[in-house]
Amino acid sequence: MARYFRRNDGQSFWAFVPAVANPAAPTAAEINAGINLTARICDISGFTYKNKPIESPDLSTAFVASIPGEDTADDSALTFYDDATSTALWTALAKNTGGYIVISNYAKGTGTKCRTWHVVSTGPNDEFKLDATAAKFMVGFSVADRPNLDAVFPSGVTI
Amino acid sequence: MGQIWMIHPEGDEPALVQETAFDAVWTHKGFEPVTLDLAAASAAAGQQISDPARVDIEFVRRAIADQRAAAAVPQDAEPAPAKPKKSTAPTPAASSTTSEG
Repeated sequence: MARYFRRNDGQSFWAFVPAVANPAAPTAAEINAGINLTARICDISGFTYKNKPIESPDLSTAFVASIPGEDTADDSALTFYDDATSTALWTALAKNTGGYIVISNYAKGTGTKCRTWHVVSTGPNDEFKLDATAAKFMVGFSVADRPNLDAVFPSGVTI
Repeated sequence: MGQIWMIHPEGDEPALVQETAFDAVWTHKGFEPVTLDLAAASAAAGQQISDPARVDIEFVRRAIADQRAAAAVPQDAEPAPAKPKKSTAPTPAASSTTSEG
């Protein structure tokens, strides 16, 4: 068992990719055409895939059995450090922009599992705080399709 | 704020983005705009379409195929351009056209 720290240098990789033909196997060209978000992300919420079991009690027992029910994804959002010199990320993730969040937890290793989430931006919003922190903005995402949690990371990703 | 379909030369899947984002971000990443004939898209859909976001993605894919085919044709099929030096000199045909006008 090799535990690891998500924020190890080079360990995690998150990218916004506008187009992916096969979410189970994004290509290096597709990912390289996207935006590497990793160094801009300061907080993550959602990006969890769940099932809501349906209770199915019957007369024969006091035990409440359940069966698998609806698949759902939590409300998802990424918080980014704002950039005083570039609004490119804010602009790229404008409301109603669709694309894929491609996540590698394993140092972009060729052939390792990665996640592809088909998302639509619900829009960026400034995060206003008066305490001594770097300025940030948050982008919410609706999840447009069942995420692929067993996608294969390609070789040749350079962003 | 309008939207635009775009395609990457090394990709096969189109993406719909805001025009401002295309100009500010995606064009610098190598994406190219997809030229859509909205009248043809409307005819294909059987209803008036004025918003690119409402165009069926299969129609967009066909437009990309046409666009790529058209881009490939001039390199393969067009004859070599005429010699540029001669184009500036008056030709008999050109003179007769002028005299007729």
